[in-house]
Amino acid sequence: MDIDLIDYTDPSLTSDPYRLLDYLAEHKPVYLEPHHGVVMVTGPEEAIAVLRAPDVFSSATIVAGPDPMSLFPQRPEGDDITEFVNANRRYLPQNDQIVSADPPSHTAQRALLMGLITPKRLKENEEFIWRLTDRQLDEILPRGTAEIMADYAQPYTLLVIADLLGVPEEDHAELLSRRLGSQMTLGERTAKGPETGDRAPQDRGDNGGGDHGQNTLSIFYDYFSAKVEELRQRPQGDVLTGMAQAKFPDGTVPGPIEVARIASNLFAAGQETTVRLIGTALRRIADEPEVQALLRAHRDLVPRFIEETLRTEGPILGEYRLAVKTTELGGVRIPAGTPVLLANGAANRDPRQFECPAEFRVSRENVRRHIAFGHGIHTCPGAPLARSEARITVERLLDRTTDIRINADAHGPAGNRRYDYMKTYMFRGLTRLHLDFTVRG
Amino acid sequence: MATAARREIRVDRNLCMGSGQCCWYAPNTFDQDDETIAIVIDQHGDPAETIKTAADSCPTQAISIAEDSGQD
Repeated sequence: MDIDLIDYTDPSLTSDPYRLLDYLAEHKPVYLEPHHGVVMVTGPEEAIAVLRAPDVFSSATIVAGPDPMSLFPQRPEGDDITEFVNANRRYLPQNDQIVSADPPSHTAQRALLMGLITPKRLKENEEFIWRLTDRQLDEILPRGTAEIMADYAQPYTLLVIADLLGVPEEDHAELLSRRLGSQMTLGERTAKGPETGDRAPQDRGDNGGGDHGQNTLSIFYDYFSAKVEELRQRPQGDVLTGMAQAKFPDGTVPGPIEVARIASNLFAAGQETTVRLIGTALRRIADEPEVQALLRAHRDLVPRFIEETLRTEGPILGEYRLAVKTTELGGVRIPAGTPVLLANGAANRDPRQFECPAEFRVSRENVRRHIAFGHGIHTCPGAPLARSEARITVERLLDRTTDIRINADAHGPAGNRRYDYMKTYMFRGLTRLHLDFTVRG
Repeated sequence: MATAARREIRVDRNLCMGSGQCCWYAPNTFDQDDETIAIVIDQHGDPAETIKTAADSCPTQAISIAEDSGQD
């Protein structure tokens, strides 16, 4: 294929983004694409080199699209634009969120989350996830058929994160309506195409704080700020209490808003990706009877099944970085100011790392060696939770059914299925998934 | 002998988030248990530099390395 003819932002690629990504990972692990001047990093070693060098590859433009320079009032010059970017972060989208922070600010913010969402803690409290899983399955299983994304995955992930954070059930409706009332959350925003840079910064909605870059999660800030103040007075056993009581590494106490920003990210952005992971995992189980039979017979393979789902078709296809220092990667010179698309979804399918990388093999020895949750300092802090939610969903669904099938009316017959994926090059996920169940008698 | 004969690598199980990144860098030193929490399988499984890289790369800084200089 003539790779230079393909514009990676073309929405028609979203039904199968892997044709392009797999080609690049194999042949051009670092590729300066000609349509936007973006350096696409698809090789795993090269991707990790980027993720391990936040001083060279800033996260400031993580969701700023292929032309972040157009968002700034002027264009910086020189081989080190770190100071310029730091002085102008307010023009970039999601600039007050931890995902766009670099050290030392990132290090301080991340400290507020340390030790709060861990496999150990989740294991000790696993009963609550099982209870919420069953509660949401009770909603769909008696019908024998369901649209998984809206009827199960969305409400389920909301219940789990709300419970973990300590958001009482009577507040769920209000938070949901804030979310629906806002334009989009972080995940949904990028789902509709990130900031494309085709409008001047002053055309964007102002969030009231004098910033031009949008912070779409600010709809939750006053709610969580108030919660943090309340929990500092009357601590509970939840994660939000842990965050409210955490200090910055220098010993200072964060302001409630600083905690609220991270809580809002956990609440909203993490949910969306977990929803997609659950959808992709269940599509595989329903569409491939041999995979379903294998998991029914060997329940201990479920964690590996989730890892292989993350590797082959994880919810994050890619995210941006900005080269703030002139550098070289994989033989390609990258001048300061160059946008970099870090393609997690490609790096996980490199044939040098994984034999027949496009094939779904639960038995792979290196099944965990993927960067679906990122790598390095920005590694997804919600990863243990996402893994638990996906695993327990699969386990309980297998427990409570004897058969799970794709609904042929909605998706077509076996061998000729039709699935709709999110129209974005940054996320991979079904928009809907209709399943039929035979409930265990 | 100034080699790290008395190395002690520790994983804080309360901090570990199960990212598995230590196993990525030092696969002969670290592994993950059934709960995906990192465990040390061999205190000297990899060169000292590699183990240090693995510890430095931990997203939650859950790995600490205590080294005795070897002068007993």
